[in-house]
Amino acid sequence: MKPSVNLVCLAYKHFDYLIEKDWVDASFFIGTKSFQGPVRELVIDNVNRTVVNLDYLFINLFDDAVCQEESMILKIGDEYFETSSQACVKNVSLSEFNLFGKIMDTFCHGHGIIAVRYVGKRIQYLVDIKKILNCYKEIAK
Amino acid sequence: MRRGSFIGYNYSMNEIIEGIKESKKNQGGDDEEIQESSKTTWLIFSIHGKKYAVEATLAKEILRDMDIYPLPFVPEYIKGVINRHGEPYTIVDLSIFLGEEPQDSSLFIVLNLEDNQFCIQISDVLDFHTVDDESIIKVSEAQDTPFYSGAIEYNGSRVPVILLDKIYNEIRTNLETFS
Repeated sequence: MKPSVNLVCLAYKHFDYLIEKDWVDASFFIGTKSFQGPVRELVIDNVNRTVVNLDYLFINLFDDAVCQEESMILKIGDEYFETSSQACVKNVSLSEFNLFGKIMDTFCHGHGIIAVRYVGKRIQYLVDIKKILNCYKEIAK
Repeated sequence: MRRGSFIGYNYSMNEIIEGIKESKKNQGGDDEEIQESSKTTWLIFSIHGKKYAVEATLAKEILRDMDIYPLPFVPEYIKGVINRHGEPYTIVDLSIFLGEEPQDSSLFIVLNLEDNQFCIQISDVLDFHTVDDESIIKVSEAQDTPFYSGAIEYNGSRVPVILLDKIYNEIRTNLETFS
């Protein structure tokens, strides 16, 4: 990673997930209401796509309410994800992040949480989105 | 003087720091002290009303009223992380770890560990108590669990001594299994 990166910030009620912007191939709205389940099929560019609901995974696993707003679709590699969080792009120096300590680093990195920073009283997790979603999908099954 | 108010006991930060310094002094004595019986200072704390003891030198700091930020995918006894001077410190609910009910307290002991940032969640800090090492009751005579090294007498009761390094190694093994 470069010393300063553009990160897409997915803001939820109690925390934010930050994803390196270069990993996000596209983001767009398709005019659908957010969905309460983990996965659904949506027609995107005239093709039926499986779309993973980030809100369901990230929020429901923490027993929080899902936002009922229009979904934004993120295309990361060949996969599609939807979220109703207010995503924005921030330029952040990597020096602003902290690690968890020797043992927790090994564990967290294995589950896709790379680092953490605090913005006032708000916690932001820098994540490897593919890895973290694989872990969440296992739990959501 | 900054004064904290723990449930049932008032400690100033200076008293806590002096307690830790006293324990270090007792542990690192000169030859003359070694010829006398060696002593250890223990930090006595409670969880759900049960008392426990750890070596005072293993406690770096005692924190209160910190927000816990949850972490996904971790074992149940890891409640999350707290923000200590901008660094994340992992919170271990010692009660859950020892097979008891979860705690609802906001009191934490920051452990003195190299390269790792861990805190244990407790209910109350009771005292710093110095005893002769000869008076420590060995584990075969005291409570028999893998995380206790023995017990000390404190105010007429036996207080189990927690082996923090065994707990720490168990957590490390568990996290490797979870991965």
